[in-house]
Amino acid sequence: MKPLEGPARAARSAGRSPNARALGRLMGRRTTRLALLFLAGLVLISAAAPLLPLASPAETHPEWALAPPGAGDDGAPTALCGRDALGRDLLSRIVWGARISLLTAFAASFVSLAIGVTWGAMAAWVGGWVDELMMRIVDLLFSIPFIFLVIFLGTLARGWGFTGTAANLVVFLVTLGLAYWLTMARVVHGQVVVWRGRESVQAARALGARRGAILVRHLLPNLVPVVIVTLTLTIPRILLVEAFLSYLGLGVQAPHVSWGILARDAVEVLTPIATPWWLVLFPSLAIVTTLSVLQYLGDAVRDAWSPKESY
Amino acid sequence: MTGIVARRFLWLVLTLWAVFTVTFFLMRAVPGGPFSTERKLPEITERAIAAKYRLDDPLLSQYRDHLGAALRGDLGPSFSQLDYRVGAVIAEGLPKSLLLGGVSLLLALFLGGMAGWASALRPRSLLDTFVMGTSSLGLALPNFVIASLLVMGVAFPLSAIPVAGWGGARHLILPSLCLSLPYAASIARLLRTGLLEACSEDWFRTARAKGWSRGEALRRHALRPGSIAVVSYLGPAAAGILTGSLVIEQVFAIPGVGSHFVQAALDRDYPLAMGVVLLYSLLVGTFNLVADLAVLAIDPRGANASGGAE
Repeated sequence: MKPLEGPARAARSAGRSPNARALGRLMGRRTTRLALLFLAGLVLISAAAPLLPLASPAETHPEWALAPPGAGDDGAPTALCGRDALGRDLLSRIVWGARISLLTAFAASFVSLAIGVTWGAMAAWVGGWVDELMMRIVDLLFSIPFIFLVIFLGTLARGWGFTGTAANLVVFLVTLGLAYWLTMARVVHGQVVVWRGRESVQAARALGARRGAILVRHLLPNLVPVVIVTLTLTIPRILLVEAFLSYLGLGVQAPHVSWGILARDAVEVLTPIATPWWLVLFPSLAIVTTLSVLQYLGDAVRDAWSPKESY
Repeated sequence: MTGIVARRFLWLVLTLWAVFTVTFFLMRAVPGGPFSTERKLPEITERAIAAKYRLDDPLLSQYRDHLGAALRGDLGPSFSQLDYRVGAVIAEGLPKSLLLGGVSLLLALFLGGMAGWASALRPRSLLDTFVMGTSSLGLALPNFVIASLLVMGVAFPLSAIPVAGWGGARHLILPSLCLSLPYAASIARLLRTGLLEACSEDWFRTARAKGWSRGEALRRHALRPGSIAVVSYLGPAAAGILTGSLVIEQVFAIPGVGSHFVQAALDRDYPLAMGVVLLYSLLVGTFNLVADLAVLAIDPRGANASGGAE
């Protein structure tokens, strides 16, 4: 579909909300549709992982350790992406790893969304010295190298006894979300400061609308664009940090699989004599492709919602 | 100028104080003190230990003592490395990490600068397309992926390049490449954008009209305004390189602060972890300050803008 130009475009966009128009701009690009399709496929596959005809990601077969991709000899079933040092099916581990990696990225982004929007909107809406204090706290946190604090918090969480696998995962999600709400808070804050001065808000106040009603009816809807843009830019960052931490052994823990863990498993068995390249290649491909697609989508969403800056 | 420096310095001190305070109280809130072990000590011994280390003092007075000690540079004993104080562990690892980080930053500047310059010299040429394509790939590659690819593709075939360890300059090649490539990619893009933006200015056209070659006009007129974005990016880049060194030091078995930190986190060595968080906050803060001052040196107009208005 070719993007409409000039009057045709103007006619089509008449009477549509800015959000609908931005969505139209976004979906009008073929690469965006492809990227979304890829992402939807990935989500679908990882959601349906238990139903797929895959070996269990934890099922070890020492006798087939480090079998290369393809049909296995000596009776081993076909492993399309090869097997790792314990003979586990790599394809299955990548699919199950996608579950954890995507879940972490999305869930942690929503934690950051919740904290960031609440903090930023509240600061700007209350105003005065509270606003000043809250935003100075954000500035302060911004100047700390955050990954170190995330690791420190994770260490403490283990000290608190959150060591079960599920609890560990939840703690990990929350810490990641806690670490990445700062940008969201700043962006939302800026937006609310702009909007609270607008005539529409003043008019609503003059008509006697309560503060809460103004916040919900007039301010929150106008936050949607910046929140969407910041969220889509946050997701790949968190995905990367998850892989980074899991790679260090400080993120997702053993019975769970994530892409960071797969990358680490690969490095551990690399020797000059035996180079199981598939263990490096396939997880890396999964990480890099997904990251690129998410980053591309983030940029595309940003461009679609701020057309003035796109060229 | 001095006003800006003073304000930024105060801000840095405040940040460090906040990091110290938050980590201190979080650390104290974790159940199980530094001396709690699997083995149950006689109660009287436990009390003696508590008295010796004043664990029974009010939290606030403990906080005061520890803050005082930290200000004198004493962060207490490490929980996991026997006979070492936190300061000693850090002092042992810091030179290696700083060397690795410094080399990586210079390498990123060099590679990124060359690539950005070359593509700005001939925009939309084959070279430019290649540089921009490679750099967008470099941005998407996490450094641990680059590390395993380089180990597999470079270190194994070439026996002259060591796979891991710490020793001569040869040991720095792979780790610094892994650390610098993503930042080289960003620097190349920033420099290209900055230079091309300068190219569209009137004064650039005038310089060209005087008969200067594109390269000469770029070098004499566009380089300075075009590199502002790169210089202000150096702060975040240094922070990123320090962060990346966590993984890279692990992969290449370099006994720097990053490895110590990861080990401390795994061993729940809180004082050491806290010490490294403080140290890296200090490093990143200092580096951001230096980068901002460098931007002001290149473009003094900013001094009035940010110095005058609040």
